[in-house]
Amino acid sequence: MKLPKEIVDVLKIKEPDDLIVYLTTSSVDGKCNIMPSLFTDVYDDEFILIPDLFAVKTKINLNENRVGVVTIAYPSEGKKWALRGPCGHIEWGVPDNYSFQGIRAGDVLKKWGDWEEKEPFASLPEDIRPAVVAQRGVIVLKVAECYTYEPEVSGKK
Amino acid sequence: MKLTDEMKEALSIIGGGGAVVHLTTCSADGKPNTVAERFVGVFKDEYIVIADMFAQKTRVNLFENPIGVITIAHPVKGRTWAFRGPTTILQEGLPPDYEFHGAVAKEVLDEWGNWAEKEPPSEVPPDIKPPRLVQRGVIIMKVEECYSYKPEEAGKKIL
Amino acid sequence: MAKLTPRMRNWLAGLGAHIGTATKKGFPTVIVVETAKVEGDNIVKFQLSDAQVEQIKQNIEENPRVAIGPGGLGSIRAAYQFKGPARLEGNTLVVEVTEIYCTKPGPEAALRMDVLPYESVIKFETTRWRDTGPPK
Repeated sequence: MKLPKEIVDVLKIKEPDDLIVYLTTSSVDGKCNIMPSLFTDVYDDEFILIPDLFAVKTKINLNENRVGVVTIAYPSEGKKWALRGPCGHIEWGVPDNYSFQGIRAGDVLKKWGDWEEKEPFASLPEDIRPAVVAQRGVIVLKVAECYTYEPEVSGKK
Repeated sequence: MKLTDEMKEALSIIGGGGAVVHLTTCSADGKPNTVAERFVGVFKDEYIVIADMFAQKTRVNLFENPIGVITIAHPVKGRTWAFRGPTTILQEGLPPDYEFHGAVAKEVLDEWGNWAEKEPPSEVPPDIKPPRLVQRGVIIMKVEECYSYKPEEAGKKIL
Repeated sequence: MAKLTPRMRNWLAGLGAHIGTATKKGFPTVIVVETAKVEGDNIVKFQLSDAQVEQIKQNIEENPRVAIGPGGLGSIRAAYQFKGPARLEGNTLVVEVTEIYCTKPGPEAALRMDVLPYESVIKFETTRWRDTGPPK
């Protein structure tokens, strides 16, 4: 689904520490994993992109079960969204024409394969700044549905 | 224990196809994971080092159960060795004096933290060359024992 | 056995958590709760709304395993992930934490902490972080 401008604007690259999200994935037998990320961007108003910097179990899960949920962790006032849909990772080394849910690996890697060019990590506070950045690729979530996590109406589309 | 010269030689073939080993680790509840590793070296006669480029389950396992086994995969040439000992991953960002079984993180990373320098990608055969040499850290094993995996004498202590 | 440190407790109690649940085939649903109560060494209790109970009831019944990441700024500053079986007692979600992981970007990303001696977890925390809980 195409995301409304309000959501796109929040998830688009601005400053490195302006937004924190969680990406939740699950093993094929239902063991969840929840990974924080300081970095997100949006492609074609439909795909949420997250650099693969320190993902470990997230990738193990995506290798066997390609679905994920992005929730806004901070700041969440007025943005209590959970965005769910097919989720995969596009690693350096896959052929340019490899396609995930309609987007081409070559396009994604060319533009987001070196995230630091877009969002300099050096400006992050020291205690949360990675010492060395080794980006392996880009995690891609195609948003298929969006529900609110506002407690009283949690789950409402 | 100190590795013999023959062992060091078998584990330090840089360039031209190099040495391939298998690294086996296991989860805290005992699920093993075995992966082939291509970037192998020796640190201070007692440790085997491997570039951490793609470790996933290996990392999960080592971070909950820091022990491993390294077996020679290629070229074997009669060197049917299995090395076992405490194993971890060292990475930039650790305190400089961080120590793992006598190995100081900074010294290990200074020597092996940038594999691409030791072994330029151009020296790696194209069919097994990683698309990008993105190294995250160094997997390091303090070798505590070595046994044979040759079928007829499997388990026999070598060192 | 997993034992939560005072810092972990403070962040969970102060800012709650994002709680990942899944069907037994692995289809995830996340709810977010803004506060939590930690009891004993490793029991975390979340008070849910009716809508939240409705949303995850089926998942918890068929697959009690959940993953928890601290809420708000805790997502980065309290870089932990807690896992374990959960059950619903009325509107209270009771999680027995059996695994604790570090999610701090860097060398310790994915480090399992509950298998380390408690003293070294405390030492790890005090050398990596200056706070003992969320800002007041």
